[in-house]
Amino acid sequence: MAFTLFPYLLLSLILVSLGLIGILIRRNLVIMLICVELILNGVTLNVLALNKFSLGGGAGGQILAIFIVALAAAETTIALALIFLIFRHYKEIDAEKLTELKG
Amino acid sequence: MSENITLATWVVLCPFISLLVIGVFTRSYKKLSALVAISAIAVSTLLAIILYIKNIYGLTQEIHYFEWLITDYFTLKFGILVDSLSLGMMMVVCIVSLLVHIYSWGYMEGEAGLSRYYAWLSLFSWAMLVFVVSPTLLQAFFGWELVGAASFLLIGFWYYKPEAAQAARKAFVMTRFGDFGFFAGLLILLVVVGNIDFNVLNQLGKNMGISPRLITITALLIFMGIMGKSAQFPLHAWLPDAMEGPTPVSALIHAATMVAAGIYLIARAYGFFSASPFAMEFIAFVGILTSFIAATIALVQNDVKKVMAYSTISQLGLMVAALGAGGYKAGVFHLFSHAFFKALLFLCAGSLIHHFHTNDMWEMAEKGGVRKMKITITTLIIGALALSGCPPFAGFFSKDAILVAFETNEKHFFMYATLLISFLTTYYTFRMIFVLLSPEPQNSHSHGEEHHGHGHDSPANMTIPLIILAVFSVLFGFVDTPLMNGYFNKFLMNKHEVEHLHWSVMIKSFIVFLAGISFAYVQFAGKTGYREGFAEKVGWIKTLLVNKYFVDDFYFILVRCIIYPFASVLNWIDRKVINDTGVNGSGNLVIISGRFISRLMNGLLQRYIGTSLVILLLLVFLWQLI
Amino acid sequence: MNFPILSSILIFPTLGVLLILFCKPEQKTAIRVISLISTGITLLLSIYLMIAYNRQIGGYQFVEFIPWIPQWGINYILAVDGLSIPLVFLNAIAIFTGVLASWHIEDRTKEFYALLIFLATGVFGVFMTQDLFFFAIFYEVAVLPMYLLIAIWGSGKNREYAAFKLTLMLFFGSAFVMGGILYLYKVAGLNTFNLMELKKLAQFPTEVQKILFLLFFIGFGSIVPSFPMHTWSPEGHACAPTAVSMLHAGVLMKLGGYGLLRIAIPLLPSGLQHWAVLMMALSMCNIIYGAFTAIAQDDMKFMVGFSSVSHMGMVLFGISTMTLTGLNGAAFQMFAHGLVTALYFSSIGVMYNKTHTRMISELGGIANVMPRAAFFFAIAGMAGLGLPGFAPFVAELMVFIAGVKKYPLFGIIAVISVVVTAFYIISCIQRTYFGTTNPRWTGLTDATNFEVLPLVILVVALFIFGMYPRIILDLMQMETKNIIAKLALM
Repeated sequence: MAFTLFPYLLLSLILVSLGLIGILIRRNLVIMLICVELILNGVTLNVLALNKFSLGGGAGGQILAIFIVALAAAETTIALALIFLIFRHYKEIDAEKLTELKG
Repeated sequence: MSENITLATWVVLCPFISLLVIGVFTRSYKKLSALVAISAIAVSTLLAIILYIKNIYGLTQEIHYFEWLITDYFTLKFGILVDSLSLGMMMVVCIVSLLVHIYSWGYMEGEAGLSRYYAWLSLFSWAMLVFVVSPTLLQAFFGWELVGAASFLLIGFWYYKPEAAQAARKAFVMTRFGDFGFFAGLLILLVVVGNIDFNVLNQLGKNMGISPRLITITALLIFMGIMGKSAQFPLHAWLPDAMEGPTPVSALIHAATMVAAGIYLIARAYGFFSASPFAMEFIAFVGILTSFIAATIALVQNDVKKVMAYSTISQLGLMVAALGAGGYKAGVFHLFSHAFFKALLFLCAGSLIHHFHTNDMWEMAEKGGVRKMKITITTLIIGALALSGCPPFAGFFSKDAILVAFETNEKHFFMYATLLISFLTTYYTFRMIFVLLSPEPQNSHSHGEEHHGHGHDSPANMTIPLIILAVFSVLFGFVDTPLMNGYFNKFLMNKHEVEHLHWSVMIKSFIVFLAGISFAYVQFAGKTGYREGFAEKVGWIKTLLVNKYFVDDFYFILVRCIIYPFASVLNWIDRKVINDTGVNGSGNLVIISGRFISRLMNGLLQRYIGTSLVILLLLVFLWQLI
Repeated sequence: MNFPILSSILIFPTLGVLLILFCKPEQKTAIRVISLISTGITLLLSIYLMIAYNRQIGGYQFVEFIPWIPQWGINYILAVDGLSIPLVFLNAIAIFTGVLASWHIEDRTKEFYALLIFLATGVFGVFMTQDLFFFAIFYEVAVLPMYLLIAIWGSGKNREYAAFKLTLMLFFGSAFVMGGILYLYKVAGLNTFNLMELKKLAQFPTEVQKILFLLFFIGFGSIVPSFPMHTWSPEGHACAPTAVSMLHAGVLMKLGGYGLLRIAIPLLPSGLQHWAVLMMALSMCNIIYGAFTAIAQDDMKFMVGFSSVSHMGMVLFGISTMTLTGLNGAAFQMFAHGLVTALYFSSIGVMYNKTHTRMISELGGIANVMPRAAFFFAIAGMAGLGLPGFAPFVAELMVFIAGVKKYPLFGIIAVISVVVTAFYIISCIQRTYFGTTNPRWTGLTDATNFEVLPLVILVVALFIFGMYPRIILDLMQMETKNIIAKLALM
């Protein structure tokens, strides 16, 4: 089926907003991490769609998409490691209870 | 530079050199400092006498200038002006200063700060001479201020005495207030006329471009300075307090020379002052008022120096009034003659004080032995006779000249006022003499006693100046009489006019003198113990006079209740309003707003994310707008 | 001839600072001697400058030029003219006598001298540089060490507050100055910070000049100190140690007047004309308000601080008349007042070292135990109140002449300050030094010859320039004439 650009953008918009809202609302750090993944995936979809429909489907967008996936994986690793350490130190992974970084 | 100028320059410079030498080299050697100072002023006197002899019939003006400050619209110059007036004043200043220097050697013997004393005397002499030879108003101001500083240092010579310190401060601040007027007048003249040379000022009345109102205003402003320096009412209150200084200082500065500076200034700028009839009227009025008030206060003084101080104020008032009324020669003549006999009177008083260690005339009478101080007492009486205007002493002729001046200028009120004041003068002067000469009480311990190892009187270095001044007091008057073919007229004003004797005036003044001395005799002579004169017998008069017309109380209230509170209010404004509210307030504002904003940093991670998101959206939105 | 004399004036003190920093803290004598020598050399160099300056030609001389960041028009330029040379000399005297006056400091001597000389170097830089960028740098250098110097070595329980307030208010001012400089740079459009070129080429529209001049006036005015931004001054003076007060009141406060005369007025003459009346009004507040407030002070250094506020008001007053005599008077007053203030603070310092109080109500009869200290304070007082024969009289005379000519009524009112000044100074002398000695002080020793040395130097300088002011005045007049010429073109 020949889709137009619009549905892809719409889908990616939904994914990104869901992810954003999730970050803002959910208190569990792991859930927040999952929502970050959502955002990243939404963005990837966005890049690929625009690549295909606005830029003519060249390699650039696809490479970028692979970059994003790889980076997401790396970033998730580090984030999970950090969450482990936080849990070990504070015994909590509730964002509203972790408030020492303030002025 | 002509010879006259060179001589005059050295006359002025010698005391300055003495000041430097004492200040830098001989500070620790008291006797040496004294010698340096005395020799310097002696050289000055000698040169002044040579200058005088060269120009014995007076001289027309010679000026030498050197430029001091050059700006866009004027050049300020300093210079040496030699003419009859400055020459005469120079002689008076040098001679009296020399005699005071010599006298001080005896009077201040043993004094710890002797070097300092002679240094300040040199400073004074230099500054006074700078003033006398100045050809411009600015240089006159220069010397004027410096003699004020020297006066401060000398009145406060015994600075450990609180009364002396306060007297010095009062003198300086009060004269400084007058100097504000002088300075303001000087500035206005400089700005409007562009030149404050006395020759230019004296012609100002004829200059069509200068409004008479300007001349009047500036003349009055400059007169304010004269009121301060020459102790005219109401800026006279510092002079009696200045008696806290050593007596030779009182003789030199507060009798003969510094206080006479104001008179000299009026004489020097006579053309300028005469151009404003209103100013002249005002000057004459202030002068006669001062003279009367001071003469009355002198009636109730018990301290010999205070009597003399008020007498000085009174005589200065007469000089001022004479000049204001148009009597140029009379004012100058009385200035010179008064310098001699008033210095004499002060030095005699000093001799007595040195001997008796008290200033109070009643105590001196109590202690007895006054009559044994032959030279002192004789010269004192001579001085008193001169002051009272007894013929043929100097005071008689000079006071006569004043009376004549009033009469010829149709100021009859002034003439009669002067006669009244002369009566009072004679009265209080001889009150003092008769009290001192009271018969000795039985228990006085002066019989057959040697004092200080030099007989009953003061040492020679004190008595010789007395004798010299007495001679002047006797003879100086004759310079204005037909006996010397009107010498003074010729010298001062190059007028070939022989002053004929004004018999009516002379008789009036002689009668007044006799009246005064008789009253004093009746009330004071020949008795012992404290007695009151006619003034003290009337209650309200006594209160008024003893409180010196409440002038000092006025100043006290002015300072304590007006000036200090005003300053405190300003200080409060500065502290509380400007500093606490303005400066600290803005600082606190910053701190408070900082705290307010820092509440955004509350550690809640999601809040941070949310905030950054909102702002990002806002920026994108704005960017889209632009 | 090509010997970089101006850079040496900067280098010798910097070398001194470096050598001091290499010393061990215990080697106090070495530190002091190094300071003395480096500032002494600087003093000699500045005297040489005065003599070697070619008065026939005038203008900028001893120019040194090193390109720094050419893309932005920033260059290392040092040059002096008739206006800067006396101020360089003043700074040299002030720091030299300040080093002498601080000889007794035992606590952290090394850091003290290092900071003090560093500060003086900054001031030298301000006076000598002709590049606006470097001007801003040196300006900051001149202000920053004040905080440490006052907070650590100062006296009085409020000293940290005083240091804080002083530094912040001066930075507030320098923020305006920097803002002004940058705005100037942009509007001139010449892509250069070189002041000499800007003076020749830059033309600013009148509206811009008004805004710019206001910026500079607030900036430089807060260091003058102009009412109402003056409150840092009395407290700063009072809490600072002696040498710092001497430098501060003697030299630092002149940066404001100098900045106005060097930068703001030549480049923005219509700005000055527009704001002259406001300047005059504020200066009148300074003069009268400062003088009266000084009467109410009990701390001697506060009194001198307010006296400084009053006298610096005369600088502003002279500038606001926009006449040659007024500018001359303002410039000369900066010089003369610097000397007087240095003398004031060092003579108070000599006494303070022994009594450890400056409160007039606690002192009394000091002259009986410390006659020399009393004598020098009395001379400072006499010079300060404008006694003829000393330098400040000349300055006041010129300012008053210009003031009476331009603003007659206000000029006369300003002359009243002469009486008020005499009042509080003589009262202070009488209550502090004269009279019977308060029993607390009977055991004091007088100032030593060494302590008296800086005082003597200052008195001699005051006297020489008071009797023969043309040594300095002719130099200054060359520059002020140029400024007036610019004003006249408007």
